[in-house]
Amino acid sequence: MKEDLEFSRYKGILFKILYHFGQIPKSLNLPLFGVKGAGKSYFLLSLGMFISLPTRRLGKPENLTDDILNQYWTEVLSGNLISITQSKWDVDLLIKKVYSTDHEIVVRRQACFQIGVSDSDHFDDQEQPELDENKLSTRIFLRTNDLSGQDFCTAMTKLREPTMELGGDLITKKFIQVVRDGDGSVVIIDIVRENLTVDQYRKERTKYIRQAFVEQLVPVARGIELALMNQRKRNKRYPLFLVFPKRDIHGLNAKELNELAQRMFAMTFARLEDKVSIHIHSIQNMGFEKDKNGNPTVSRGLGQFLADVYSVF
Amino acid sequence: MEFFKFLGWLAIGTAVSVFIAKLNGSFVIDQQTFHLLKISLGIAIVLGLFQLIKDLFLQWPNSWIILDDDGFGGWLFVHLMVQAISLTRKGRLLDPCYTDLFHLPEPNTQKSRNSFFCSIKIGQDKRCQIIELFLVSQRALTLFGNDIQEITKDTETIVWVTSESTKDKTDNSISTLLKNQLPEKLQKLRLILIARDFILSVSEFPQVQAYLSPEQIFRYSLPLSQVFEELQQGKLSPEMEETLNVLVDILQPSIISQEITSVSTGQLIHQGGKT
Repeated sequence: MKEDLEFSRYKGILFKILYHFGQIPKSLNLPLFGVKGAGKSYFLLSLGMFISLPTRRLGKPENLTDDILNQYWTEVLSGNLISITQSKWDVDLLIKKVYSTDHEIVVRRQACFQIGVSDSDHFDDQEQPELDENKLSTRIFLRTNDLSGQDFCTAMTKLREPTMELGGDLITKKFIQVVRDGDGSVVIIDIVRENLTVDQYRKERTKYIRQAFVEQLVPVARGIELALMNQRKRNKRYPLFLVFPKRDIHGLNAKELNELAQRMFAMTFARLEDKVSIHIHSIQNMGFEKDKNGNPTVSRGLGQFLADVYSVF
Repeated sequence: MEFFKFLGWLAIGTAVSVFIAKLNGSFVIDQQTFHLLKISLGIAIVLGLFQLIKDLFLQWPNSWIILDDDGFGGWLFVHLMVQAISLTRKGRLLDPCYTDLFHLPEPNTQKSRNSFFCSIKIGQDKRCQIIELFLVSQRALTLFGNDIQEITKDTETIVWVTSESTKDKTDNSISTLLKNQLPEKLQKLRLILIARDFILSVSEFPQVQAYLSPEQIFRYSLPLSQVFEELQQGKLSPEMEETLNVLVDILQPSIISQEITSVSTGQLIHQGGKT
């Protein structure tokens, strides 16, 4: 594990040097955090499929064999939850294009969040039509070190005590290293922790949201605090992407989720207000909803997530 | 006022450079101009120093001590206040190790029964005030009563969460805490009494009145569990919001000075958020 960490770290440095001299595309390292079962791997899989669709051609997965991708995708198509990945894959996504409409939406949305305006037009999470040719060109390597949910929770428990030495053991060391190598963080927060239908969930949404936060709030808040404490570029605002999957079930858009997050993470956000830029995304991964033709390929908010990453960096 | 600080540092830097250059003999200047330069730099240094002292004075922490009768109300009160000031961005927690203690969407009854310190920063820029909150558990009060009494000597505000059934005990406990306090300290002390269902009367605390005048006693009604629940869901009732805002405002330095003026004329009586 130690060798892997060292290798990926040197690889990251090498990529930064090569990018600096214009030899390779921009390389962004966005570690992905979340508790066990929050949907980190599924989010990556969905993002990989989204950019690879023949009709979209927004990019392609680089460091991921077709075999693994197909294996997990088969599980999604058959309606099953994907098997536990436990940090078995690090994914490099090469983003070549983002939709300009998505870009406009996220820029306006961010401005709305900053000045407190709630114009509903900017909080629509619909994907842009696949035929929309109006795209912005880029070359971003989106690297994710998929720290397993189990490791993340263990690290957060170990780092609870203020006297605990940071990076004192392998798991906490891995977390700290992943944070230091990152240019920001993506945190997956699952507010639908139980297997419920839309009606069941929305009937008692407040109760289920609270239950979900009881489980996730402390590790995530501590993870955000520690990420800020250990980031390398301290003079820059730290981009923090809070991604809430299962949009089809919870039915909350980015504005509503922003209000929820502001309440739940009030203390953390107030403390770190000057140091982070918060980006809230309500997404729906591919596979769980079917389109008119019965194809389970409908997603929401993924294009805007990519456009947001593009606009932040 | 950042300008004065900048001016102060610039003046110190320039003064040091000028004197080194003069000592080396590489800087020739006539006596009158040199005196003028010395006076200008002196003024700038004094202005910078004045600003520095002012900043340090504003950063001096204010101390609050929070107690209760049931071993839970105090924690709920602190959590509620921290949550409210964070949410409204009127202030923020300074300690990074808060997540386990506070950051839960539901009250944690087990952890709430321990004593702890935390610091909050209220207000913006130069009008900010650092407040140290010291939550004292019932256990700590029983075991280390004398130490708590000593700490109370440096406290500006005592908050006690009480109820109708325990008000006699509260009266006795508060008066024990105030027993050996210096009269000049007692004059500056404020007591905030919070009852869950109604506003207590000052006459119900005869022992406390031996140490504090009625103007120093602020009384509120706040159903803490209910307000906590409402705040987490973002649906505070207007009445609760008003009471909570008054409590949050008390923490702010501008309100403190305003209150002291009002209290001295005896016009301000707090009753469940109505002033």
